[in-house]
Amino acid sequence: MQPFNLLVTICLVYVIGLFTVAYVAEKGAAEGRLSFLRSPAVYTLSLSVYCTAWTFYGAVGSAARNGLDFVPIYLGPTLVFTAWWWLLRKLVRIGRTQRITSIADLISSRYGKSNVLAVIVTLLAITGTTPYIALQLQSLTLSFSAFTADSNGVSAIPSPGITAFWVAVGLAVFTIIFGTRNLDANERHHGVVTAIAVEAVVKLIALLSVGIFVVWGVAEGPADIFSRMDPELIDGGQIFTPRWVSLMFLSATAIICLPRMFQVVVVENSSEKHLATASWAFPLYLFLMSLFVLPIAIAGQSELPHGANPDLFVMTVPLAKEQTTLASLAFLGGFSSATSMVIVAAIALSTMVSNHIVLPLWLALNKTRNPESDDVRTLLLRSRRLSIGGILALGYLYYQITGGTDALASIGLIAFLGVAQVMPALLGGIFWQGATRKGAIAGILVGFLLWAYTLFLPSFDGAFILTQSTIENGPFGIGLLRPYGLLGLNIPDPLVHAVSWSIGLNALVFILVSLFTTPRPIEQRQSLQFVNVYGHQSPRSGQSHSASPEELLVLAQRILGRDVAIKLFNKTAAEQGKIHGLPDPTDSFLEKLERDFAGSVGAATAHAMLGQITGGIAVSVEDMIAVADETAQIMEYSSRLETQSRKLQQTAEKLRAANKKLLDLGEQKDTFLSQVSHELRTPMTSIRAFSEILRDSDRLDPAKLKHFASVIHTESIRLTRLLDDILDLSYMENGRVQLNIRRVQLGDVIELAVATTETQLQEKNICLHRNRRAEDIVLFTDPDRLAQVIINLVSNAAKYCDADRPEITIACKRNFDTVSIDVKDNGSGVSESDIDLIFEKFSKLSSDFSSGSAGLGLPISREIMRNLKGSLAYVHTEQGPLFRITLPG
Amino acid sequence: MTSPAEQDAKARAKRKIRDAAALLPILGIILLVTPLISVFSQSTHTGGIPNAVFYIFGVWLMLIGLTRLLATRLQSEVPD
Repeated sequence: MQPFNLLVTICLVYVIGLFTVAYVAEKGAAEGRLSFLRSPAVYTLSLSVYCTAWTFYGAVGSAARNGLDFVPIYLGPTLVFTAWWWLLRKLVRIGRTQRITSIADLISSRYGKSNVLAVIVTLLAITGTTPYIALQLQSLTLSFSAFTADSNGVSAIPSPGITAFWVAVGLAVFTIIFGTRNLDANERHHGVVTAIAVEAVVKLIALLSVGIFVVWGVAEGPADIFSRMDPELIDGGQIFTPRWVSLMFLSATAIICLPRMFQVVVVENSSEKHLATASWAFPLYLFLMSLFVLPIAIAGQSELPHGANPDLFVMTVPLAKEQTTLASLAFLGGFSSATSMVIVAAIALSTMVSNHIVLPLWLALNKTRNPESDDVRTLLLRSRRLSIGGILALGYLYYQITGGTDALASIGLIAFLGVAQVMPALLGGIFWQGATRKGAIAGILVGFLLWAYTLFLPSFDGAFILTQSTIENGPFGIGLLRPYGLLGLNIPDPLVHAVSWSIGLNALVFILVSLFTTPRPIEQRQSLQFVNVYGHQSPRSGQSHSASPEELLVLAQRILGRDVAIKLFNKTAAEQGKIHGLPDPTDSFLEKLERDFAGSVGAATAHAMLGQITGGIAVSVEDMIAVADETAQIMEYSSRLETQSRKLQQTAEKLRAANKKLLDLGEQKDTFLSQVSHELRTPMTSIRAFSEILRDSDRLDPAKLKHFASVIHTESIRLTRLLDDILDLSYMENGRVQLNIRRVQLGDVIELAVATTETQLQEKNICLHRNRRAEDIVLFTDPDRLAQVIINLVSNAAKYCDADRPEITIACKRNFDTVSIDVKDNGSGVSESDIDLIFEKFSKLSSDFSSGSAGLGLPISREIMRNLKGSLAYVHTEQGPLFRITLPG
Repeated sequence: MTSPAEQDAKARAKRKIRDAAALLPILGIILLVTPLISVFSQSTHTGGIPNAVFYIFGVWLMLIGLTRLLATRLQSEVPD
């Protein structure tokens, strides 16, 4: 059989096989069978549309020319997939909650459903993809002719153009059949995806087989193959270059921004769990795809005659070794790579074109028709089919015009940079709420223009728009505007030069314009939904509602509260002259509502919410109510938190105070105990000493005996009194003392007290002054306790008065509602440092020590006065010390 | 029932895995997109294979392994 016929047969069988797989998968999915179609493995394999014919053949070519230059093309996506947790997962979640159908849809949806942006991104995607499709057609025809070339290098196939044409037609038919069978709400294409997964396996097996053959068939193991390598191919010190970084960046961007990649990664994704598997499985696929690239390149260089096209080594090396089966497999791998890329790209682009260009145009031209009718569905399907045909035709045309030139060979990276212009707007859109539509448009346009000027147009070598002299000397000979050296920037690699300019300025303009512009309400709403996609899990309801008063009332109730909202609506209805029912949503009413809402949810949100309702933009009232609910919940929660933390603070304050009091009390108790034991010790010691004398001495004269006995007696009395005092004080301090309150004459009480202290006064020869008339006051009190206080004060005065002619005065006085009794003497009084101590228990004052008192008199007196609802205070006067008893009148 | 302390420890472990997953790309960038790459890939050979190839493909495989390790632990947190 002729090689050409053999090849065509192989292709036809393979294609029929793919059709069958796609058909079975489509049918199975429709009937709900074949759950493995929605497995992570199929998802991961479908991602392999990243590996096109350009990478299948071209990676080896690139390795043969520039060593490790091909590696970043695969490493970039690997890095992106290691970031699946915070990047890809978010994209996929957004894609599902927002029903995203393409990358243009994502960008436009994020920036307020802007159709301008959608059109820009669509055009950008077409510009970037068409040459890429042409590149696939070129690789296919090249591989066809290489496979069928006879020993003289003359190919038997009719003409490359015709091959490319039939390939394009075949691809269009397949894509139209399986890509536009129906308008799936989720835009998933099970048939296509399954066929792509099968192709992915073929690609991998083909490349691995060739690789294994090269390493262990042609050479004798890895060491042998690398020993044949031109040592200058890999310079370890020169790997990290600006080009390395640029390629890494471009390929990382491409894995998200290329329309076909966005289609398989986000749109065709049916479960976030698949992403978890793909996060490592897809990099592994890429790893395996690139594992044998270098060995094949080395083998091609060493085995094939000089001047052989390195881009076809994958196939020509087995052919040269007369391994026709292996070569056929390699051919099928390249065929799979090319076809899968074209199919998915065509689907993605046709969706964009029909959704963002054809449909808006049609709606604008046919305003009178009812858009709810089935017309739109038919129109969309038709426009998609036409778009697919159109896109492939465009690719074919491009191939026919530029085919075979170097311009096409380098188009892969140029296309990458073209679609990479979407990256700043995309990343900004999902992570930065402040990104605005104007910023996105400005950034993408600036990046797009710079890309076209510094890379895309010059790549035609003067054949398209830019002339050769413009490329070399700049437009009108202005050297600063040279496309490859803009503003004199001297970067030898045009790709690095273009990446720096276009991406740098794109991002800069995007950020600056975003900072200086205000987003429209719908943008604010959408930015919230995108950036906080994990926070909003409510599925969006399909159609939007136009604002009705009922909906406004529901919204207002959620935000303002039931009563306030109803009052407001009733008042407005009355103002509008309506007796019953709800007010009409007039502009002034909406303005008022917005102001009122702003108080609860902030001005921006309020504006956005009402803007949506009244603007009738495709954001449902339910969504807004959900936001309102959340806001209300958050506000309630935070106010509850505030209250609680305030309460906690108060409790802590109380606890601290209580703790301090307890500590003080503990300290007081300790001091008290030590003082009590000290006080008890003195009489106990003398009692013990004297009783020992009595016990041990046989001959004591009666006088001495009597003296000792009386000492023991006195000390015992003192001990008893001390214990009585302590008990008394403790009772009073606890408020457990029994008071015998009755009506008494103050004079009688004082009389009693004076009589008790008379002996003491006489002993010291003290003169006591009283004013009996002033003592004629009737009181309701406990006379015995009051007398105890006065006795204590008088005896203290008698004890401590140090005047030559001691005098004590008791002065009584009735005030408005109190009665005061002053006990004063003409001594020097309490020294200033002791004033604070005299009411303390057991306080040992510096002046006198040997009084025989335990120091409990004044504390007890003060406690008595407290129990009698009065007070006892010390006042230092010029005439001498004064203790003032105050009693309620 | 697990005690609050155990739950706390579990949540902390989960958070660590999430953080690690978020930071993994940075490790990849440090190893592959910085001049560090030149340090490990000087033009010498190990067993006939250039060190640069060994280094790049080795780091690549390690990244795949780490991603897989973290992804399997995070699988339960991803909804269907």
